[in-house]
Amino acid sequence: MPTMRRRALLLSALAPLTLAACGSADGAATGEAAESATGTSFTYSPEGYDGLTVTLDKPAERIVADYYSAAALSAYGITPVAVFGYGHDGTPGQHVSADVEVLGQDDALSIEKLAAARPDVIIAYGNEDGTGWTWWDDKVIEQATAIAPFAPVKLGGTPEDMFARYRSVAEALGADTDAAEVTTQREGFDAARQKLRDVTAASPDITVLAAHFAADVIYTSGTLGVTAMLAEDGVTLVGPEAGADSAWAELSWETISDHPADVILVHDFSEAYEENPIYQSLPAVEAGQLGTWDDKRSYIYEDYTAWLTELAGVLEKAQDIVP
Amino acid sequence: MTALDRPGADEATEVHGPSAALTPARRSPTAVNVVLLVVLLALLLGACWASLTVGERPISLGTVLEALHARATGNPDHEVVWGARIPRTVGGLVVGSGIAVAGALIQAVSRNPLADPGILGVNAGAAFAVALSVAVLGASTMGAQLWAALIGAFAATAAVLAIGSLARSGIDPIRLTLAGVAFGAVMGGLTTALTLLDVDAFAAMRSWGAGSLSVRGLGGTLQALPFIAVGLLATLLCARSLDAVALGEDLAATLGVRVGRTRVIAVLGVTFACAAATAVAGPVGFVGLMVPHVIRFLVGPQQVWVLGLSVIGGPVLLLAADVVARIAVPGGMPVGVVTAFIGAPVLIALVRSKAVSTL
Repeated sequence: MPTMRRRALLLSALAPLTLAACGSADGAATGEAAESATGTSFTYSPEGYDGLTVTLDKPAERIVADYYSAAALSAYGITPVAVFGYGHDGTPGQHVSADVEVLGQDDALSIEKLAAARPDVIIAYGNEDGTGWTWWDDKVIEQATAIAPFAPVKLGGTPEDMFARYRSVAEALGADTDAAEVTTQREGFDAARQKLRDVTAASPDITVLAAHFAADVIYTSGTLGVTAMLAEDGVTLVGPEAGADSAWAELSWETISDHPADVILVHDFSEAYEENPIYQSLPAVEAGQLGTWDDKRSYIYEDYTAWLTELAGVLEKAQDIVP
Repeated sequence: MTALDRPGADEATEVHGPSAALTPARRSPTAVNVVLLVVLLALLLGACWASLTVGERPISLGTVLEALHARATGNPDHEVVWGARIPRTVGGLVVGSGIAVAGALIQAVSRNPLADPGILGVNAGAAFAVALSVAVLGASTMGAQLWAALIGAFAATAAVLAIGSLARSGIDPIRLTLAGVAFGAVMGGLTTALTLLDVDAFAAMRSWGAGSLSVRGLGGTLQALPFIAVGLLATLLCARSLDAVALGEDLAATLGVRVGRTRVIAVLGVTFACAAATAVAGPVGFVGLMVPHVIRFLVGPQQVWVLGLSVIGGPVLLLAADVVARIAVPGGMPVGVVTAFIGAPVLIALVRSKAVSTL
């Protein structure tokens, strides 16, 4: 597996070669576009990046995307030529075909492979200005965007916001965003949220703690996009208020009982908590009233539908066990 | 002057002689040592009290005692006492005594007053085994990591002993030290490589590798207890012989001490005690070096007293450091980060105020 050190080494060693490669890749791409410009040209003005518009004078056919964007676009039948980024071992990786070329995993990226993939556009979670992927430093941004323009997707907001953003990306890429298959999936998601709203309306006293457990500390949040959606749908979230600079609040194992909850949602990335006697003594754990959550799931309607349906089931069966 | 002159030697020769540190001070050593024993026991009680009552959730000693004899399920204070405070305190007692005794033994057997139990490659071997078990076998439970650390520690010591005692019959302290340092460097490199290649191993080493008493329940500590007990038993067996070995191999032999056997027992004691302590808490630095060193400053070089008082001094330092660690930042920090901050000033003060303690 590539590592940070290897990446740094690779980047510094290959920088001169890569710049040369970019030139030729660009030339080849332009040549092809001139021959086969049949569709409409690519124009994309991402929501959340005011004034930014990414345009190509031809359709974007060869797409390089991060795993999350590749997964989200798969619902629209869009397959990238290559992927990079985090998520190969999580939910996003499950929606990316094994045939798709991998340019690097986690924070690693082979600029040489990126150039060889001859992308028309790079689509990924954007940094603050939308100039590059959220984890790239200035040097990588410069090298990568010399190969192909970068089309950012703003990360943040509720899952609904994220689904809308990927829908607009799919539209810019020329996909039929009202195709029967994706419409069915969208309706399934809406129905699952309605089911959750019905359940929470029927038992408004059930309190829920969305927690990410670790050996020494517990992170909770009621303001991340995914928990904000739950709150919108009537879930009564408990837990400490997050500070101004983060959506996450921290609490310790010693103080978790100050935030009693009938149901605990265990974050998928929790670790080293199951053997903790304090965890085992929590009322929700003793009663088996447990669900899951993950703020980093890829934006796939079917995945969210499955999770919301499971969550509605947990809440429907939950007893009001804490005062 | 030979050591045999000393019982009748006058004050001048005792102060200026090269082996002055081998003799107890003029004042009655036992009285001073007994006072120190009482002081250390009082400090240990204080450390246990602090460890049980201090934390993010304020819990009074009364509540702790109530939780101990009449545990009420569902009472958050009682759950914290049983779920966090008692495991940490027992962990501190067991780990602290194990590391300090291992340190005292290794300093005696290597005749190096600055030796650390890690010198035999125990820490490096345990760390590598934990990283390997996580990366290759996906070991995630504390029990699995504990056994991996134990096996790694024993394998490392066996390898160091094999390398260090090839040339001569018996154990040569200098060869042993060199072999341990070299072996530790190789293992450290391999562990770093593993953690760079495997995300899970990196995460495991980040929490385990810093040295922490935030043990998940009492289970791990209780599993490690028999090994620490073996280490303490070895201490009892060889304490007096080590005094003679400190006089030099030839002299010890003339006094009827079997030098090779004493060293083997001592090294086994170091391995058992240090391996078990490291398996529970990760490589906690500085306690094994500092506690026996400071105690030798105070009581002189008699191994019975150095070893015995280290058993008490280790937990005092470790528990005090852990209390500081848990209130220093919200959520606590690994105790290994704090031990040096607390221990180093004491050591520096002693180094500046008295003659350096030697063996």
